[in-house]
Amino acid sequence: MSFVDLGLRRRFQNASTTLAVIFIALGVTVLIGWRYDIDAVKSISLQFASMKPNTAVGISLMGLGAIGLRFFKSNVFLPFVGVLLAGLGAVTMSQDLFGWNLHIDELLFRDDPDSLEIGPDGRMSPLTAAGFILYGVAMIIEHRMTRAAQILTILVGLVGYLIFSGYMFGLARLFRLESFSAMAAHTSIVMLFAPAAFMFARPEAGLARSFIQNSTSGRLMRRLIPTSLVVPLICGGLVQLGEELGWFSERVGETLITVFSAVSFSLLAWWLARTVESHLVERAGFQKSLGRAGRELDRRKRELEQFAFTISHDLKSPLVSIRGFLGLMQKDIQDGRIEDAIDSANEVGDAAGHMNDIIDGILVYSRLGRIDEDPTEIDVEELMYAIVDLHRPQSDEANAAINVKPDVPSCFGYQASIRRALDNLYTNALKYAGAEGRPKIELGGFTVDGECHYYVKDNGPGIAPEYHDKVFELFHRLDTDKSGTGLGLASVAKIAEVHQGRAWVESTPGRGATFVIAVPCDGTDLKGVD
Amino acid sequence: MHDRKMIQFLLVEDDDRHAKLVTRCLENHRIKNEVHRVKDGEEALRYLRREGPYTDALIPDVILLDLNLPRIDGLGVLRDIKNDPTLSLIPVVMMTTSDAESDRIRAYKLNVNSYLVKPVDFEKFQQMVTDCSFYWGVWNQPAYDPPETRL
Repeated sequence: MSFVDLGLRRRFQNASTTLAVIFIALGVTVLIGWRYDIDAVKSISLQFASMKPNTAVGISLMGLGAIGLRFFKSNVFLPFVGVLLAGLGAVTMSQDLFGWNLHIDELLFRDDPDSLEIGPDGRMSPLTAAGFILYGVAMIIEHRMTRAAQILTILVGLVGYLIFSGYMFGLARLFRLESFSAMAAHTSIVMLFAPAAFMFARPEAGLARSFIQNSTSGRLMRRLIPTSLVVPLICGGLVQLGEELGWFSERVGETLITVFSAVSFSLLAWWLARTVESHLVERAGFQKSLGRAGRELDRRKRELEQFAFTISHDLKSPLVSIRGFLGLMQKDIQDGRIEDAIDSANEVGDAAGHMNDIIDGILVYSRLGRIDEDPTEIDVEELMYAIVDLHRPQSDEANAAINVKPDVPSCFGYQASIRRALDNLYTNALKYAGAEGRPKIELGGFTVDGECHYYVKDNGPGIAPEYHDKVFELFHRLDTDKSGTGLGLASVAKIAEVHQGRAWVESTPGRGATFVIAVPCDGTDLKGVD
Repeated sequence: MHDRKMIQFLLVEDDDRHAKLVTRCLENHRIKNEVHRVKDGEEALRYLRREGPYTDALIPDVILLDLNLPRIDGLGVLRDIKNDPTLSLIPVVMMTTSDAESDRIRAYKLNVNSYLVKPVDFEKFQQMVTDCSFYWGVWNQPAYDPPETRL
C-alpha cells in the first residue's frame, strides 16, 4: 500500500522553498559582491573560479521558478521565468559556439581585467549556460510534461554533482575546458540542489512522488538516494584532506576511497536488505492473519446460513402440525367426533410445546458464541455433583446408578458454559442409559498433555461410527422416539469450540456411549468479555 | 393380507404429527389406499429391500419422502433408490417444509419425480396430499407393471 504522506509532502515543499530562497539570496549576495568588489563572495577561494554576474542572475531566476512552481497556480509565470533563464543560457552559449561577442557578459559589472581566469571576461562557464538552458526548458514544459521536465533538472543536478566532486577532490582544473571559464564552486552547489528545489516544489507529481509515500519504497528512497549521493563525496573529501595534510600518498588515498565506498555500500545494502526483509515479514504476517480471518469469516457465514435454514425448517415443521391439527379438529367437531377432536387438540398443544423448546434452544445456542462472563478457575468435580443433584428426581425415577469418579481436574474457562455442556451430556445420557438392564452413568475427568478431558459414560444403545460426527451437528437427531430439539450436542460442540477445545463421542453400538469434551486446562487464548 | 387393488404409499417421515396428518388426509380419500410409515432413511431402505421385519412388505406405488430425516437423510434415501435398478422406477415424491433452491436442485439432480413443499395452511395441505395421491394413483401410468401382476 502506498499513500502520499501529507506531512512529508509539506516538509519536502518547505525544503524546496528554503533552497529557492537560498538561491535567490546567494544570487543577490554575489551581485552585491561584484558591486563592491568583494572577492570572498565572488569566488569562495581565490584559487577557484568566480561566480559571474549573469550566473548570479540565473540562479536567482532558478530560485524564483521553484517558488513560482509551488505557490503560483498560473501557467504563465513559470514558463516566463523559464524563457528568461533559457534565453540567458542560450545567448551566452551562442557566443562560445559562433565566436561572436554580444556584450552581455559585462552588461552589469565589468570583470577584473587582471583576473587569472581563462576565457572571455565576465562570461559564465559553458556548463553553467547549458545548465540554465536545461533548467529554463524544464520550467517551460513543466505543466505539460512534468516527468520530462524533472529529468532535465536531474541532468542539471548531475552537472553540478560532477563539478562539486571535482572541487571536493581538488581536481577542479581537470574540468576546465581549454579557453573557457570554469563553473564556480557555489554555482556547482546550486546546480547540485537544483533538481530538489524543482521537484519538491510539487512532490506529488511525477518522479518525486515515491519520496513522499508512506511506504517501504518511500522510506528506502528517502534514505538511500541522499546517502548514496553524499557518502562518496565525504569519503573523497576526507581522503583529499588527508593527502593535503600529508598523512598518506595519493595512491593510498585512492585505495582508501575504494575501501570506504565498498564498506559504506555494503552497510547500505545490509540496511536495505534488513528493511525489505522486515517489511516482507510484516506483510507475510499480515496476509496470513488476513487469510485466517477470511477463512474464519467464510466458515461463520456457512454456519449462519445453515443455522438460518435449519431454524426455518425446524420451526415451520411444528407450525404445519399446529395448523393441520386445527383443521382436522374443525372437521372432527363438525362431524361430531369429539374423541378425535380432543386428540387433535392434544397434538396442537404438543406441537406448540415442541416449537417452544426449539425457540428456547435456539436462544441458548445463539448465546453460546457470545460470552458474557470472564473466564475463571472451574471446580469441575463440584459442577458434576451439582448437575447430578439437579437431575436427581429423573435418575431416581429411572433407578439409575450414577457415579462421579473422584479426582476430576479443574480447568480455566467460562463456568456457565462448561456447566451447560456437562448438563447437556448428562441429560442426554439419562435419556438413553439402560438399553438393557439398570441405567448406569459415570462422570469423570483426567488430564492429557495440558488438555482437560471430561466424560459422561452411559450404558445406552450406543451410536454407530458413521454418526459419531453427525450427532454434534445442529438440529441433527438420531432418534425420533426420544424428545429433543437437535440442539443439545450441537451446543456442547460449540462450547468446546469457544474454549479452543473439541467434543467427540466414543461408542460401539450395543455397548453404550462415552461423550467427551476436552478443553485446554489453562484456558489458553480465552478472552474476557468481548 | 394386503389388498393389491389399493394404492400402496410408503411414507418416510420422522415427525409423528406430520405422519398422522398425511395419514388422516388420505383416510377418507375416494381412492382406496394403504399407508406404510417408516421413521427414518435407514428404515425406509430396509423396507424397500425387504430386510428384517419387512420381508413380506409390498413394493409401494409411490414413495412420499421427507427431506430432513435422522440417520440417512431424504436425499441419501433418494440416491439409493434411484441407484437401485429394482427400485429406481418407483415414483418418489419429496414432501418437505424446505423450499430452499439448493435442496430442490439436488433432489431433481437425483431424479426425484416430484418436489412438494408442505403448506402451512391446512386446507392447502389436505388439497396437496389428496391431489398428489390422485395424480400418482389414478392418472399417472407407472413405468413398471401394475401391482396385480407382481408377486
